[in-house]
Amino acid sequence: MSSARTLTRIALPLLLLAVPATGTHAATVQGYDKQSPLEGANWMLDEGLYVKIHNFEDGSNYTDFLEIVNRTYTAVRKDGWNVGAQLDAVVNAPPDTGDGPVNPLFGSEPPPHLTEDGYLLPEKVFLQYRTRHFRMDFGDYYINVGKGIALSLTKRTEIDQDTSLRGAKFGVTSDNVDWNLFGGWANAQNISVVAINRNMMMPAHELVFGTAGLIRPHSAVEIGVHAVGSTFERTEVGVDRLSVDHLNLIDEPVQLGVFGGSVRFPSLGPLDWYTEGDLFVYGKSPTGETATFDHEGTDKDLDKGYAIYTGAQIFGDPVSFQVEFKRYHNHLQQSRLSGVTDNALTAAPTLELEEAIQPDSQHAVTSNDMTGYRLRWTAYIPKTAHSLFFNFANFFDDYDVAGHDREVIIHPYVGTQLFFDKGHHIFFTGGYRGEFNVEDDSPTGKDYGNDMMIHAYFDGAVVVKASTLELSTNFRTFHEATDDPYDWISSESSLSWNYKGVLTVAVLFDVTNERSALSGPLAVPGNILNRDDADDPLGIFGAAEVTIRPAPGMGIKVFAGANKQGLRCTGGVCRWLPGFSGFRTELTFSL
Amino acid sequence: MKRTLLGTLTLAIALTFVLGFTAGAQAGGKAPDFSLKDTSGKTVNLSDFLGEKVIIISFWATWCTPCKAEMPHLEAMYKELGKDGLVVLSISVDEAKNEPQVKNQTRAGGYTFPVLLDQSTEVVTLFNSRKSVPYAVVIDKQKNIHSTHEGYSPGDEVALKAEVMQLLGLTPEGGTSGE
Repeated sequence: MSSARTLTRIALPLLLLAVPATGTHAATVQGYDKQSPLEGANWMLDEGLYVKIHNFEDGSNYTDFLEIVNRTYTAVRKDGWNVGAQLDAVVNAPPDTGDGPVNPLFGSEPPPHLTEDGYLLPEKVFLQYRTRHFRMDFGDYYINVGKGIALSLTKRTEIDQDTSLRGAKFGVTSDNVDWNLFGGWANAQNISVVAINRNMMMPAHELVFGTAGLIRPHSAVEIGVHAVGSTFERTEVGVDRLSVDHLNLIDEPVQLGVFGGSVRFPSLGPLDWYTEGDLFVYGKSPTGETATFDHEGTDKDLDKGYAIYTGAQIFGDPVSFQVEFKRYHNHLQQSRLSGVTDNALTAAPTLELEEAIQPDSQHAVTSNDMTGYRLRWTAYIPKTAHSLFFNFANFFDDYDVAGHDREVIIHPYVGTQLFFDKGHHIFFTGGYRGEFNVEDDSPTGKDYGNDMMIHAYFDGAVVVKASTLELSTNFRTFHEATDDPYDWISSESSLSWNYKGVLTVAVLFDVTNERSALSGPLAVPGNILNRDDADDPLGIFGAAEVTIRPAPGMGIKVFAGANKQGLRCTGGVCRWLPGFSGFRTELTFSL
Repeated sequence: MKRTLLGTLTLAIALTFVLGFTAGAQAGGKAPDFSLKDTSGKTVNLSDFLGEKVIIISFWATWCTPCKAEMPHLEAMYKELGKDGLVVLSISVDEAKNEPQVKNQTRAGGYTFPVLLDQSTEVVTLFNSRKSVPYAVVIDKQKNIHSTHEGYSPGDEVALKAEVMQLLGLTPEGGTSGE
């Protein structure tokens, strides 16, 4: 990092912190004369300080280290204007030697990466102006088009991912018309408050531009059109991110144009019906070659693809019915729900229960050639808030590239939500998921059988006066059919006691022998309470967590122990957490 | 370089504590206006209610268990205090693909307050850059953000209701406070 860049990165946060510091007892900026443009302006501050001591298992080849992360998000607002920034800083001690674990959200491979001992980055910078019918954004902003098939750049803190578009956007809105024109470069948040910030690999900044419009000629009809162009630079992590290992020309920038439209009838009596279609056109590289999909054994012209999604819901009493259908062909998925990822530029409907998506079963999400539907019945118990549901999903994965078997997936599951007086509640979901090869002659030349999963989730809370006792557990068992088949279980549980919303004490307990959780890029090699043996390891992770909320907008959290990767809810907040081992504290407050 | 970085981080940490404790973590300031679509496609503006109503903005998501536990209490509060000037704007931060699940959950709970869709996460970022859910923002009749509430545990609704009643000028028994 050059001195000039360092100074810039230091000066900016100090300036940002100095502005709010002028009025620490009120949110209105004070101390300016009447001619000041800041007269009557307001500011907000979301502040977080995270101190993490990573304590790795003896013999894991990793050195224990201290990590301090500071995240400051601040904005000043006045008369429709909103200017602000997010500044993240991290320091590691002892210094990074380059051989330790990496930030799993950005890659598992060695260089190119930054090997400095600390980072100070203005992650987000923005200037916005909004009126009731007009808006313009400069700097970092978020945008979603349709159902997210063509573009979905949003803040996803639940998986510690925050990718914005850094550029400009102009939009108009009224009761009957919405229109946006946008362009910029994808800007992923680099510093993580939950993952390891060492050996960081900076993601590519893909160029994205387009326009999207929505009109409502009648209150019962919406018509949308959109066009999105993008260019992807291949990077070390790009191979995983773009799933372009089956695309030719992966050494060249991949150009993509998406042209689509949608129709929605939001209230045809009890029916709400939405349909969207998108055409994918893969462009030429700078050397004049065209990116094509490499389907084994075919001679199809595959420089084009499409995606169709339609969904309808009928709301009745006491039963509602939902049906969804999707057909994706040569669809370039620009996001993955698990594994190594940085930018996520799209979020197409999966029709899957996301808790059931595992590394081996994620083709329901990432397959470029998939047809499927989902049916769901929901029954409501009269005069209560109780409900029961049955969900059935069925997919055909026609992902016929080398090394992958085409398969049919079925996934039925049931669930209930029960709410009782005084705040007691019970939530339950459970089901079966199977993946079946459809060809006798497997392209891989071997028949390993079928994958199978059984999953169950339970959350129950009992309220006694000012205290709440809550038990939450998520359990999965999986048979993975490969050339090295194995069965694994995975569960995450928590037992928490909350007193008046001010104090929460939780005990966390995870068990798994899933290989990716114990040795994959999201795993943490340390402080596991038990490992049976190297050939058939069983990881047991235990931790305690205390959360104090001394004032509205302020939280103090202390965690000691280890947790495996997974979605976790405790203390009233849910997040997807990568594995951690050691001790950490969090101080957060908002103004 | 390393000393500079450490020094800057130390200063940032010091400022964090100074800001946090001298400011007493006060919420405040005028609430920024926004426009969002509800589940039927109708546009709802915060400014339609600002200055006239006491407003609870509740950010939630379909995958959030504490949100499911909190929302029946918001509905009960809305039914009881709506005639006295309370508005509840429930904002889902789910992605577009989860919109059917948002409607399912809304129907299952029988919620009568507006359920808005912040599918691009623009509005939640205006109020809560961490996008933690559930997250409630209470706005008084002077358009000021009176308080914020992160997370939910059973019993939290009691304090929230008392705060709203105070802003509405109501006594716990339902009368006016005479202010």
